[in-house]
Amino acid sequence: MSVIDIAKGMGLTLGYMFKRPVTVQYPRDKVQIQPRFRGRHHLLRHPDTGLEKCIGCSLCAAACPAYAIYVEAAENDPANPVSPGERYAKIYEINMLRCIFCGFCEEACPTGAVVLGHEFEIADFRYQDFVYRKEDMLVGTKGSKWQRREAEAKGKDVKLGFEAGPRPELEGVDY
Amino acid sequence: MSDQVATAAKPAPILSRHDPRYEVTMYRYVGVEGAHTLDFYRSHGGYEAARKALTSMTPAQVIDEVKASGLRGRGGAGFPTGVKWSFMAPPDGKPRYLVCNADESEPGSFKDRYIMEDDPHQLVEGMIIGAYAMQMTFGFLYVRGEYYLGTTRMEAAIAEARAAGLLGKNILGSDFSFDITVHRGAGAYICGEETALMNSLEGLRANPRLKPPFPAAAGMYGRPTTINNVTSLTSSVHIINRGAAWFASMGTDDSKGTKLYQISGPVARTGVYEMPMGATFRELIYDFAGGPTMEPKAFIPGGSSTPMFPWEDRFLDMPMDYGTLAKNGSMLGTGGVIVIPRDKCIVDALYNLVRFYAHESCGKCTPCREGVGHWLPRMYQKLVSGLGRPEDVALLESVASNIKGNAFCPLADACIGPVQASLKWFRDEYEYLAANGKSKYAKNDWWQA
Amino acid sequence: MKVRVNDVELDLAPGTSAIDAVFAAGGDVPYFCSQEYMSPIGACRMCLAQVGAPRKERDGSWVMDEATGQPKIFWFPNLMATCTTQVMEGMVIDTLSERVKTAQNGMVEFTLINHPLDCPVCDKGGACELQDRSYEFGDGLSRFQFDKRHNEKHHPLSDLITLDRERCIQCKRCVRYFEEVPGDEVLDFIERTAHTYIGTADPGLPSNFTGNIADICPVGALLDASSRFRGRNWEYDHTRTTSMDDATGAAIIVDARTGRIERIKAALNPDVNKTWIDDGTRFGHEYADSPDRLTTPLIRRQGKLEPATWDEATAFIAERLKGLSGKDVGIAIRSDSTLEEGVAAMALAEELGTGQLDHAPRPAATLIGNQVATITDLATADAILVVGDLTEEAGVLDLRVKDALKGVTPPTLMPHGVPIADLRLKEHMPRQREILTVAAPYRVDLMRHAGATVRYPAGGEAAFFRALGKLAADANALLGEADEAAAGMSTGQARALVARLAAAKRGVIVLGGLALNRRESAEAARALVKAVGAKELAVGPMANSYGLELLGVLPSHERYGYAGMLDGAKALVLSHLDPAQDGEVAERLRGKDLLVVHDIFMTETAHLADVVLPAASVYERDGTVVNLEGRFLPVRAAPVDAGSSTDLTGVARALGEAMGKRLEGRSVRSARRVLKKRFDIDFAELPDHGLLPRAKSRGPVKALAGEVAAGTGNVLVVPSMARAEYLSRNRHLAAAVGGNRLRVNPEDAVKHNLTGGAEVRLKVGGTWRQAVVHVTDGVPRGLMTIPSLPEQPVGLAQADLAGIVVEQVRLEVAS
Repeated sequence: MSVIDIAKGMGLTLGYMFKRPVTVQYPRDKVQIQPRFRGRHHLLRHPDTGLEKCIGCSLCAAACPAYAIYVEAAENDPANPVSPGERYAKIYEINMLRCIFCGFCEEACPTGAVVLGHEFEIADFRYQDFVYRKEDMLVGTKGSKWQRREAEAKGKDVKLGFEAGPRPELEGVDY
Repeated sequence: MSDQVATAAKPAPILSRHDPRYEVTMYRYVGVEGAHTLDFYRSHGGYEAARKALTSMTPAQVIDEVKASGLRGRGGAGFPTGVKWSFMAPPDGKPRYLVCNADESEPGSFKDRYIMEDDPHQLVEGMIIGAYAMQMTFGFLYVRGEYYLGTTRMEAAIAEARAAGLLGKNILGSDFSFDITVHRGAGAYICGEETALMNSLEGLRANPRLKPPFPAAAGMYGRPTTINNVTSLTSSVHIINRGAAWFASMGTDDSKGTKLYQISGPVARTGVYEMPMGATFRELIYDFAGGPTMEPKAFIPGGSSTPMFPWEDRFLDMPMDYGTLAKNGSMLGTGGVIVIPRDKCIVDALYNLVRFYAHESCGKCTPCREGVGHWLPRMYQKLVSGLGRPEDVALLESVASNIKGNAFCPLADACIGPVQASLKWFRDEYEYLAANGKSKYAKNDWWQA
Repeated sequence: MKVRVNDVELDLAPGTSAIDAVFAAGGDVPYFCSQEYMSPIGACRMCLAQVGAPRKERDGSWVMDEATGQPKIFWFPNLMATCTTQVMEGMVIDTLSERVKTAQNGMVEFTLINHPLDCPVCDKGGACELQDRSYEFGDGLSRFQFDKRHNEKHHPLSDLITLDRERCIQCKRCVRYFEEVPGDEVLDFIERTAHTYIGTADPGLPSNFTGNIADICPVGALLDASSRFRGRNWEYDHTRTTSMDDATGAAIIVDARTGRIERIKAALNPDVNKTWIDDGTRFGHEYADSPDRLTTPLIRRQGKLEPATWDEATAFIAERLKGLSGKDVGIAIRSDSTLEEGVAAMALAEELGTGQLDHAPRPAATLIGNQVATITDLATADAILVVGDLTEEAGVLDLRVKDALKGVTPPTLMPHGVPIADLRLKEHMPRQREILTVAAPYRVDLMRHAGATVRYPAGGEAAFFRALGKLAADANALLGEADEAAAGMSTGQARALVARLAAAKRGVIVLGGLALNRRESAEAARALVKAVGAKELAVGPMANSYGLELLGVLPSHERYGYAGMLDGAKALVLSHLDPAQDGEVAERLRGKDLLVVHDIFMTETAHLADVVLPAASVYERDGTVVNLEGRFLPVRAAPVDAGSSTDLTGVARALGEAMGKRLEGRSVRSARRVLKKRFDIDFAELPDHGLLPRAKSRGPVKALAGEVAAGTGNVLVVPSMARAEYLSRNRHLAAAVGGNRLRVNPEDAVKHNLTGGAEVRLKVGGTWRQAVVHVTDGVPRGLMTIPSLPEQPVGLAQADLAGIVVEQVRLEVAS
């Protein structure tokens, strides 16, 4: 090892002193994440009719390698349908502790109803709070259970700690 | 030695209606005023054949006579009638049925209609002879629903015959008893298929039945049944009257006797012509029907279900018998010749035909229900409305070949035969239409109006 | 008959279909329209194969192929539907050629052009024949560029069956099923060509066997309405078990998901139910998931029943038993308890030293006759006499009687199971109705199929059999006018019936509960069975009546029977029995020192109990039942969440522990050790289709109870397919059968001011019964019928007709 090599190394280090730091001061600053980042799931609605895209077919549950999804379907009331067609998901639960965020559910979904979004701040305290139900995931619900609980307690809006580019699959999701 | 003499002495068969020895038989009184009455029929030698059969012949002799005459079923398939009759098991005292198939629904066929309207007793007599030959206990006459006049005339004739002791118990003093019921169909082409006809007669849905068992073993109500076309039965009247040799003296080697040929389309005189088997299409079209009135390009030889021929000399000079047409890839069918003019787009013509079959498919088997009943008419509609693409012709061909031979009963093949023949002879018209969105010949732009 | 399928040589019986030859050779062709036990029709055209056969010369020798020296194979010009082709000597079947594959692929394409691709929402998805076959034999893409046919997506054919007309592929299985199996022609194709759809002439499916069409539908067109959208097929836990709904022991599959029973499907048992079950068996399970199921034991403390643990409950019972003499304790179990539970009850009785042990309901006469027919005997019989309403009482037997009418013996099983296409079966087969005679006091469904019917006056079973017996003894005997009236038939009719039974080689007499519940009629019936040399099939009131009698869960003396112990015992242990519905009995139960009720709901009796133990429903037990022909059949527990409930072996274990004993029936396993000694059968290894032991292992029959039903009354308690005690909790089934029906003759309806559809309450015997009035001329004047309860067995009963309470008047929809 020569002096030149050491100088090169030091030069590189010195060079970074004049560049913008890579480290983000999360949670003070927002994280920039890639549009294809796979975070907490969203259940989407058809933008025109507002009906849920989910038809309760359980294919996501079948595809799930971690057995994290539980679906129970029911028949739509034709006068007041939840989803287009005959069938909708009466119960839709994902256990976020079991979920490995592989995105198989998204791939298996025949209607594009379940899409992995960008939210990743889902740490919580109790087991049951990791079981996300339909109302926790339907489009329009912002933030994790914990974030929403905090926001409600403080009377503020949910503040998400990230920024990401748009992803077309996340139809109607607004961060 | 004697064989040679016999051969030398044997006269040439009558092959044309122009032959002076030829004489009209089945249609002799068609069109004659009052010919449908029993008085007229009897005064013109009616019911003599029945009397001859019932009083002087055994049932087996009648069957042998019909066998010897070489009569082949006139409904379309051309199965030898005498052989069919001989398939019946010997009587066992329980009911057995003769069914006359007068559900003449094939487009281009209208021969039975005039027999039933103008000479109904001829058919009654034919049924008596057939019933006697097979020792049937009861007869059903299944008439096409649209033949209203035919039905009333047949019903009247049967009532007359019954009153005169020609039907009922101990006919003509013999110990043979037989009666006929007339049933009007409800307008389904599929009822021309014999097992569907039996289902329809029994009051079931007119779906074809599984064969075997064949009707001769278990037909109507599970009893032995024979189903014959109207003209097969009326032919037997004349065979009994004049002998098998007379009948066999007409026609070609494989098809004997006379047949009723029908011609429709743009010809000078459309209609039914009784001719010996073996007469040519040219004879029928030019000599009797007076030739085409528009420039022709094709003709259908035997009713809509038979594959068409282009207007070429080799086909026009073909003798109209079962064997020759089968060899040339078509069928004699009912003998209903339809002439297609050049200016009629062949695709449009086939669309019309396919729609007919799509409407008539009974819905039992998949290829016919989905292919003939749903897919083909839509493909034709797409083509004739000018929306076709070049690859559609190959697709049509492929779909047709998937249906061909794979369906439960011959109805699907009856539709596919003409489709494939039109693709064979007039593929250029299909391709032109698919490529250009308009027909090669006709001004096919009704969809734009 | 030598047949070659692809490269496999087979030797098959004549008459085999080519499709069975293919499957027997281990090959595969797709099919949708063929169905086991039904006629092949060749409609779907999926099973096409290239078929050829050698031909014979006129002299009987084979036409030889010059090149090979083998008989020359003449191929059929068209591809043949193998399901409708019969094998011939030397036939060659090719299912692998390119031509066959193209044709099969083409048929899949045709089938799919009008089939909606809504598999994700379809209840059949994952278990769909069309789905599987499309993957196996289809191209994976469609060349069809046009609109699919659109039709009704949700057409309720009945309260039990939903029809999706778009999904239907017109295989005709359901239409043929109704004509061929139950003989109720309620469904047919309407319209033709691509517009063809399934429909009924009138709304509803008036048959007791409608659910089977959901099983046989190859696509998701016909669906079980009760399990609609309950789960996907791969999510269910399938339990192959035996139905405990009636005495026939039909094979079923219980599909459960997350601790709930979602549906029941028929399973195959060629010797019992083939693949058919009645709607009571299929749809009568919803009560087991009722939210008011008992899940923990209850103990009466300060007059109130309070939840407790099993330890507390058993300790409580043991404590209370200490103060009682063991022989004062009565133990009664319901007749659909398993053999293992029977062992537990016997062990408990033995431990207590009591002879007061019984199963209820139990007919007056033994079920174990000398000449017990098998169900296969019934299906191949050449003369059948049925007394009672078989359609309601034992639906499977009803169907097997109809098999006998076809005169086709059950098919021989092939290597791949039941033949897929049995060519002996035809559509609209002629039926030999003349072999069947049906006798009942009112019009029963099976009468439509019978050559002769007898309607004797209610309670006249004994007179009916005695009249026949008289003619069996002396063919020239004459019945007096009074006898003829009592038997409901003329001397001539009776003579013809006896002659037919006596002449028959395989005559079977089926005795329903009406005949068995009075000893004199059962004795007369058995005398007739003996006199005409027939076999008998006695229909027990519940699933294991035969088995519990065989096992000997019987009192040591007639007066210690169920009826007796309700009176005489100081303490009672009742499993699944609810005698307190009868007000007088309830009074007597209040005076007992100890009343232990083991049941699944808070019944009337449970409300009076000192201890209530939560019981396992019939779907949650492991065990064995013996059906009416004496066949041992396995019962397996479906994974149902029912808290700490347990069957009687669990009760025996807990009670035994509390008393410091290890009772013999403390578990299913230990009970089976006892049973093995008794019957020499390893019950843990019982095959799915059961075991029919030789007659000699049928044990001796102990004591018999007295008459169950009185000889007189104005209401006839009749068997019912839908179990009356659970009907209010079986929502779908209740809607389909129209509730517990009080059937009234039109004249009586006017007399008692009853209108059809009215909900009424009436006191039958001592029990208040809820019922829906159904006015019909099927019941004679002066007689009403009402479905039976376990505590109110079939037979005549006295009802207070003047005191009928009309609760709600509703217009009955004309059906």
